Amino acid sequence: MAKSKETGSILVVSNTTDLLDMVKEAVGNSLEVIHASNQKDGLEKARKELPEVVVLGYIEPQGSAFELHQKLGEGWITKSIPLLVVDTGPLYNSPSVLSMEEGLQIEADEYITLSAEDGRASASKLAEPIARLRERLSTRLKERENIVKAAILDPDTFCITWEQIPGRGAFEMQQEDLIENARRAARSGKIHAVSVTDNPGGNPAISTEMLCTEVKKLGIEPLVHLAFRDKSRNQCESLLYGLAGLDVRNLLLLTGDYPGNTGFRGMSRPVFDLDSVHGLQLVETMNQGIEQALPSGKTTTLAPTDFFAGTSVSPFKQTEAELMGQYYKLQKKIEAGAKFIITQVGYDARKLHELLTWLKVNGHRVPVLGNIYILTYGTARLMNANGIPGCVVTDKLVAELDNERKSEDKGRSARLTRAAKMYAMFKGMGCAGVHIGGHGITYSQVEHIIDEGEELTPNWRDIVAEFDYPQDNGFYYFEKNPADNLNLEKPSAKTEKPKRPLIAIFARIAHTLLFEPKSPIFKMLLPFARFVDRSRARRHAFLYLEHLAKVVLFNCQNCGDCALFDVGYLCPMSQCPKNQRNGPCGGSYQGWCEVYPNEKKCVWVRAYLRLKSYHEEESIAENLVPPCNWEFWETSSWLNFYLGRDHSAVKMGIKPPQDKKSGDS
Amino acid sequence: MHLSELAKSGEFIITCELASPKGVNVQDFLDQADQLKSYIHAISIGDNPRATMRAGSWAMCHLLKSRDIEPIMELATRDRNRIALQSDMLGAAILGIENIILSDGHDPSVGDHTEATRVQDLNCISLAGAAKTLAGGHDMTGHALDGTPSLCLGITANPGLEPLEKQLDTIKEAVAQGAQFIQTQPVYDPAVLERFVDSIYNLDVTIIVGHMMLKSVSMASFINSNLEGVTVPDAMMKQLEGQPRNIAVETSLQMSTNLIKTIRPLCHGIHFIPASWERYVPRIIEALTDR
Repeated sequence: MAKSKETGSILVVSNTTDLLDMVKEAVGNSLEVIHASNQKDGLEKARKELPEVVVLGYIEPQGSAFELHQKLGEGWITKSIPLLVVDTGPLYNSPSVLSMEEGLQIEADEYITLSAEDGRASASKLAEPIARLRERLSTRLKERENIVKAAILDPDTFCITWEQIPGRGAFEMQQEDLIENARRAARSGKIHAVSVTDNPGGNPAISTEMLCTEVKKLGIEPLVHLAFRDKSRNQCESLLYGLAGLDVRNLLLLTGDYPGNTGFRGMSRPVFDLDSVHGLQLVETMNQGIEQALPSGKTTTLAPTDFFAGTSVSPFKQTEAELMGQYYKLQKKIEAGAKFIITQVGYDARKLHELLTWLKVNGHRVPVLGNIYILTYGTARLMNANGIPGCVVTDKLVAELDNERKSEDKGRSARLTRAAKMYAMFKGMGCAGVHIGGHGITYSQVEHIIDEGEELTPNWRDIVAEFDYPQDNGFYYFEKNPADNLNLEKPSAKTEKPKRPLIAIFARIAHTLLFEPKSPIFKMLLPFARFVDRSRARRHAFLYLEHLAKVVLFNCQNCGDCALFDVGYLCPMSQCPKNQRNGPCGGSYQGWCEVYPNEKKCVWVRAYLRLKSYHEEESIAENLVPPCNWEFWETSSWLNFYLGRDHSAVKMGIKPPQDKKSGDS
Repeated sequence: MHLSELAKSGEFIITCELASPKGVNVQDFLDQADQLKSYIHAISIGDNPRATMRAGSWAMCHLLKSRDIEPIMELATRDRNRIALQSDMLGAAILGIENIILSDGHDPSVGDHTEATRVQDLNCISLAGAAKTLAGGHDMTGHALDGTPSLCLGITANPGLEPLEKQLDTIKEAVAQGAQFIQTQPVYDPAVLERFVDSIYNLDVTIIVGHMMLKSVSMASFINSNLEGVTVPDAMMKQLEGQPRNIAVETSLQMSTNLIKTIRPLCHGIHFIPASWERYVPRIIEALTDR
């Protein structure tokens, strides 16, 4: 258990100290003995101290010992603590710990009765079961050990995850197949996790969380994809508690594709309340134990969860601005606590190697699982035409698949061999594992890929040249190493032309004058802001004027927690369909927005080019923007800024005014 | 229908104990009864079983009867004097409750009213005598009854409790007073049951053997320490040791099925005491009928 103390503890729940003394004698110095004298105290101490064993004796009132035994058995955390029920009734001629009826329903680990004959030897009679139960705790904790986490983190284990795609409907074959695949994977033991995507393609599908708990029951670790497209921050937290309770601990946090057009009576509302950086921060905070305020004014820390969360990245982007955005955001994801990375679908060996080199050069020791998507001709054409956001398949690869499908088996063996070669290559390059996916893939095919991949691994360098799929004018972060067709550790020149449109210049000047605490105008505006804020009518008028100006200039959505400063004076609420505040999602295509390809540039591509014109593009990686605070919805962001309420004010050290005249509003 | 008649028809009797509610909400009770209905011949209702206060058994038996489920009503001498005992037997008979198990009842000290007075005006032999008198048209003091009850009386026995001879005397006396069936405490060792059955082979009495599923090793320990005369053999304890709960259920059900198959030729029926595992009773019965 999560105890830093060297000596573990044992909790004795009894109404007198007789049993306590016996346990002390039985365990000597090997355990710290804690005492609780009633049900409430017992439950609290069991939860808080996480003892190695609980010894339960008689407590008042009659019946509360049995209730406590039930509550300990139901608690997500306390149920793994071994429980010894001791009846000292016959020994002291006192009430029995359980009535006859309760005793016949007991589900503790052990039960013993101490009789008058045991007398002085009672302590030694306790010693043996306590020792046995302590051992049982260690095996229980071992069962709780997360094999996916171990496989990803252990450099000697090559971690293999298999992606499953849930479909729409409760009873369709696709769901049955998914469970059958998981069952087979569980039986074979070659695969470490079955991953289940979350409403793939932004279309409604059966819940990944629920499927994953089913998968867990089959004896294999699930990897839950959690996309922020469909869930608000509260819903995410709520789901995560549910998963934690059911011991489903491996997560892949993703922005999520934009909603598809298959929603019930029209397209679903995109949520995007958090981005993947925020999601990782949430999980990390939950793993530390969220601080919760109590009505009394005190705070309490929730029991820490034990999630192992990773994220994805796409190194396969075409333009400099797109790719740099990916790496800037990845930097923030790693700082937010990403424990592993799964790449987007792509087939260019040099690109995958680029990610590994970037991590190495920047001193990040985050393991990468290379994505092996088993590509059919149909899917390849779809991906080539930007049909699946973020998946990159070049014309050259499509042509190869077109050739392969003319063979007798319609390209089947070529597909699997390509996958096996990727396996070998990724393993050779130093990935921590692979993430295998593909539509309609059977377990035996996956096993075939693993086996063939292992055979090919020693000669992986010979394969690299086959996976040379550059995009037209595609940007690579590092210079090419002609010796192995991969990358040198030397960054290549960044030649994409910066842009500085008029509005950006105007916004920057306005910012310096109005919103820089050093500016004289800023100092004059502060009392004015306080004046406006004190009256409801003035606030409304001011909001109206601000909104009017900002709609014209930035298409302001009135979120009240303005992020113009964070995105090169572009509004992420109006210019980014996914409202991304910390960098681009993975869906951009040749610099275009996923949602408006060939129509609108990605807001982060625009922001990058603007910032680059001031040599400030690196700030994207450094500026960690919190999620939009919906408390400010439809309030004046200027007032929120001047009066020290919004995230920018906090960042710039603007304090809320000391309220001298609190009755003035 | 009298249980003894059912036994004579050659049917292997299956009964199950259900706990009457502690309170007045009967829905769970009725749901459990309905779920068991097609699997069992009768449901028995304890009389404040294990000295834990619960709703009156005759009321629950009446509800069962109205749902076409044959009830068995326990009547314990612990809580009533001879007036109340006779009166309740007549009352039960009026409601069509004919199978009555007479017992002394657990001592109040093991229950949830440890300070309660133990009445024990009669013991189960004298109670059997009283029942016989009622069936003959009179009460214990010889007053004539207006209409006589038709009763099938049973008594309890504990095959593992030593000395067996003392129990055998009680059984013989009770049978002489008209007891027609015996319902036993759980028996986990077939050899113990065999010895018991051999010792009463010459009595014309139906033997229904109690069975309680072993839910956990701690429950088995509890039984060994607290249920006098009932012993869970070490081999069974070993099978349950250290098993996670979901696997323990399967192991337990398998153990129950195997045990019942073994003891089946020795007796006329099985009486389940589910102790909150009512939901698993049908699974065992199904496993028994699958050969």
